[in-house]
Amino acid sequence: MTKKISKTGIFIYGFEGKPGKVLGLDEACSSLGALGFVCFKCPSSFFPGEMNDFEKFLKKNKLSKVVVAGCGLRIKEPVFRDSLKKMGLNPYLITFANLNEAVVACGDKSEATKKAVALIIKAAKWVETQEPVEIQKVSLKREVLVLGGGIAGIETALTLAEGGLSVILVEEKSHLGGGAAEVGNLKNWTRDKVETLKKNERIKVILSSNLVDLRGNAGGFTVKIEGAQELTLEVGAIVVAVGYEFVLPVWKLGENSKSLIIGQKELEKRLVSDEKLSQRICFLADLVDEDLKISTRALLRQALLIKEKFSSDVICFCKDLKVSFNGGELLYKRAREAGILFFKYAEKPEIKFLNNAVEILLINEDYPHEELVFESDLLVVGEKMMPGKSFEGLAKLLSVDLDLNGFFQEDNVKILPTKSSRKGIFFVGGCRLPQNIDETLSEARGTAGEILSFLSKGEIELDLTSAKINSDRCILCLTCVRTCPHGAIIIDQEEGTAKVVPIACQSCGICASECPVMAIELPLYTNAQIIGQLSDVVGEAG
Amino acid sequence: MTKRDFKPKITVFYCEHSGLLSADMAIKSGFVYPESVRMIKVPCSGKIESIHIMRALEEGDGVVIYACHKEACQFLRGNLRAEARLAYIKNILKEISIEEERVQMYYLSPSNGVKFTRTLSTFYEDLKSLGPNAGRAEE
Repeated sequence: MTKKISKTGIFIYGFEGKPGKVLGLDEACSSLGALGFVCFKCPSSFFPGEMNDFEKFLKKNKLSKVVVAGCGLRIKEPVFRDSLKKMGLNPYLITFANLNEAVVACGDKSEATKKAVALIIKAAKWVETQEPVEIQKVSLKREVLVLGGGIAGIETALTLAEGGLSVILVEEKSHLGGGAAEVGNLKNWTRDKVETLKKNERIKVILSSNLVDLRGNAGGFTVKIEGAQELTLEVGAIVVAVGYEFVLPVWKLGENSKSLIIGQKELEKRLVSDEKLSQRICFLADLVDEDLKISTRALLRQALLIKEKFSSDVICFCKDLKVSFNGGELLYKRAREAGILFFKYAEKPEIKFLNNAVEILLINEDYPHEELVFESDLLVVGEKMMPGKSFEGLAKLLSVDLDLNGFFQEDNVKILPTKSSRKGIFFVGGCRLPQNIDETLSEARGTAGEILSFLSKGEIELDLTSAKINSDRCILCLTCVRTCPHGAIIIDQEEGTAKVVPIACQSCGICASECPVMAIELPLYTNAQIIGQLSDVVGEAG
Repeated sequence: MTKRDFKPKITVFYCEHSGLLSADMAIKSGFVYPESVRMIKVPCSGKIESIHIMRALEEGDGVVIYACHKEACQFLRGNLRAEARLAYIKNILKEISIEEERVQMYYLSPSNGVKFTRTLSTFYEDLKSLGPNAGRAEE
């Protein structure tokens, strides 16, 4: 019994502050030694010294498996693993015992030490059954598919091409530029971008086409494109940069009043084509989308432009002006100075259609609560931004999720905003959330950077910590394929078994617990290891 | 053993992305939770299998699962799988007439030491009033 255990070394490092006082580490060391472990208490908790001691300890005792015990180990885990790698050992034959638990649980010193010993023995038990994790090299395709030729797609493609990857840009429509090409102040800039894109040798543009089929996983997707050209390509990563749609709120309008009310997008078209606009114009904002600042920006810009060009009377009704974008405050100040009036409403103003004008009744929020009546020749309302019609089909094709509003769901809203739940698939721009142009651009560049760091080497070294399927046990019930949130499991037709694609697997273990025949194991969390933790060990309290 | 001396043995399965960090936070903030608790780390609450929970009940008096909040799972649906599995286990417990309350699941954000300590302590007190687990294997 003792012989078997003696292969495992235990490395305890010293503590400062409360843990050092509460735990009797020397006693712990000697009682562990009595159980047949090779035990070492590191005097310093200072990083470089600690690692030297650690390496010396391993060399001296010729250990291959080790338990590191201490407090606050989570940040240090990779450092210890690196150290093992440097010494030519497998970096996964190590476990970490968090002695914080012992510190908290007990007030009594001897009891706390007992608990600490129990924790260390459990960790040793865990590492004893740990198999070494292999390392595999996977080659990656250095091509990227960008879906959508709007400004998000263009910027991503340009940055990727600059980084040395070749890009295939697929656009549904027959022209590039997307929504930005229709906006007055962005028109020329977008046209220049499209020109540089077309000149770039590394970028291949395919217009009037769609993605129809996708197979494989990150680093080696096989995609089929249909439309103007029929193509089958192999790409390493996919960027989704498709656009959203504008929908005007529904109004019950008579025939002759239809021309009195338009959306912001329609107004933009009239402004671009230099059409003469009427003298009295009212804006009604925040009617449908209260939390997006994109329409506030458009409103301020359009109102200022109208005021300057036609010196019309411009009145804006809004719930909240959202000026948290670049230069927003300044734009608002300029609008106020130019003589544009802003009124705040809590309840939707009453709107009446007269013969050739719109009458707007608004109850003033401020004291005294008087009723204000405005008459206008044209009412401009903010549109609702809706997910595109193609979103649902595309999500199904890519096997990624849509959020509650029907936009593409990012993996983590805060820290991984452009990654999807599948490795190698990215979301950029309005397909994720309608946003301002500068946000879209920085997102596009960020995503391109992410893809460059992933693909530019052409191959990747993977630690095979991904789930493993026992092909003898697999009954091809497809449970794992359905439950895998990352689309990492494929069916091998020749061998008649399900297989995990290591590059796509994120080692969550959901498939392992769902498998009805227990054919799947997670190498770092095997069933035996978890169940082994449940039984009592020497000295455990309770 | 009188009810007063009874120290319920609790097994905690916690998800690396929320429970583990919350437990760390609880320790850093100096909160004290019951000592007869053993913690087992899993990569996602969806990894906890029925057999793990049943074996834990054979060895102890209660099981707690700490998962990430709904719609905030690192792996999208892991916590929902865990929830479904818990419902299944509660059904089994009902059939073999063991109190359902011995298995609980709580949702945590990644640094909620307060909720971690509070739920664990309440659970401990609840188990104390329930008494020893009838299904626990004889030692």
